[in-house]
Amino acid sequence: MTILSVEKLTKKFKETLAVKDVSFDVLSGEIVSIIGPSGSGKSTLLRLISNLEKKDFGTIRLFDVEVTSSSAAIKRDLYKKVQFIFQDFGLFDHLSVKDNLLLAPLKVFKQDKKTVLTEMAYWLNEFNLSDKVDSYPSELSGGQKQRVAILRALLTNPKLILFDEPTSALDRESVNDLTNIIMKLKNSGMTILIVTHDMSFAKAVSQRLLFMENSSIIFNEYIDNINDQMERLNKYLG
Amino acid sequence: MTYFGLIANNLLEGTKVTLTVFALTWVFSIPLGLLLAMLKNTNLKLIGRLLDFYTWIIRGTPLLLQLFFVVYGLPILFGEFFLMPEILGAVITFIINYTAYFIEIFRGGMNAIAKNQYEAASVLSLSKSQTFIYVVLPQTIKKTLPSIANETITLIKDTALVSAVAISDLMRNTKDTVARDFRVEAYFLAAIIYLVLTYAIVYLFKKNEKKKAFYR
Repeated sequence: MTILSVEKLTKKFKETLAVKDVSFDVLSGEIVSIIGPSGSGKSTLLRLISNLEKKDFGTIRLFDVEVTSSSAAIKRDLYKKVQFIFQDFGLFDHLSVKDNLLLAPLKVFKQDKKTVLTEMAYWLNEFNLSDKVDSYPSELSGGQKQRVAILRALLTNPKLILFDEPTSALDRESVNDLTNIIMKLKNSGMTILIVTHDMSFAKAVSQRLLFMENSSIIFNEYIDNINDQMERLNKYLG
Repeated sequence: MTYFGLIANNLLEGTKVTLTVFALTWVFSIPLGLLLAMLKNTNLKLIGRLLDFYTWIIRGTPLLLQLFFVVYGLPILFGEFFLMPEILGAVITFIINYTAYFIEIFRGGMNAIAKNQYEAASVLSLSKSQTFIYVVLPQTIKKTLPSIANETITLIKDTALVSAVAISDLMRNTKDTVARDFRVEAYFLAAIIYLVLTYAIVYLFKKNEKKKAFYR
């Protein structure tokens, strides 16, 4: 099943073309990374997909429903299944870890409090955050903040998670933690789209890479094929 | 009974009036200021212009002039309907005046909230009103607390202006006492009472700020 389908997506900021004619699909359970140099338009692309920016042309389909022509109510329902992990994590500064985690499940998704608390406790333990439940974001390290942000997203039961430059604010150890978390999510069947300029991280977690340059996708290939080609190339070069 | 004992009663009576003007102004102008700040931050251009005009007039003219205008000017201009007890006129003037300042304070606080807080709320599917209640409002209060404290201290002292429209507040009773007895002790006693009031406000706000100091 296609979770996300983007067709001829285009976005201009005044006279600058940020995203130009971009098309690609993400299938259910896939982990796809968009890589490319800074300024290539990859973060804008992710923000367009998550409705944080308005597109100029093209279509975005989520779960086989065209987003832009949908009514506000349908759009809202579609985006309830999409979560976005910000580069700076976007935790609410005035709320404790616990309140950050519970706000959306209880107030927006109207989930049963007992169930959410149980689920929260499980993931806090899984993410090594159990002792931080009453801390405030300003008291956490970058890696901890990110894990809280991921957990906050997970508790809304999303079908698609978008990561914007997840490794840029992390030390090496936290990058390893993140890689493990993403592999765990992959095993649970989560669909993930990542924007990053960290090639080794992208190769470690994704099944498919999209390479973006000058606002366009110039390369869309499965990791296995890339490895095959690299191997052949290496053999050829001796 | 000492002289201080004799005049204290009179001054404390005045203090009650001072506190009444203060409390009514505070209780009404803060929510009004918050509400109008929200309106000013929406995209409704006409409302924005009207509010700009309102704050321009109020912040650009002396509170004492506004007080005279409401208490003495309005009945002359528009007839008896606007003839009201001085204390009511004074409280209305103070509310109108302080609301203008609070609008700007709250608006500044709201504008200082980082964009990512709004975006995070949007990604979590919070509605506009939920974003306001759970994210914008608590952060605005935290950010504006020092300014609100300053404005509150100024308000206590500004209430002395009501003595100019024949209201028997602390200031008026002090002045009358000095004029009557031709002794200055009342000035000192009044100063002490004002200091106690402002100190109490500073103390309460400091306590509250500490309570909210858990995040930067």
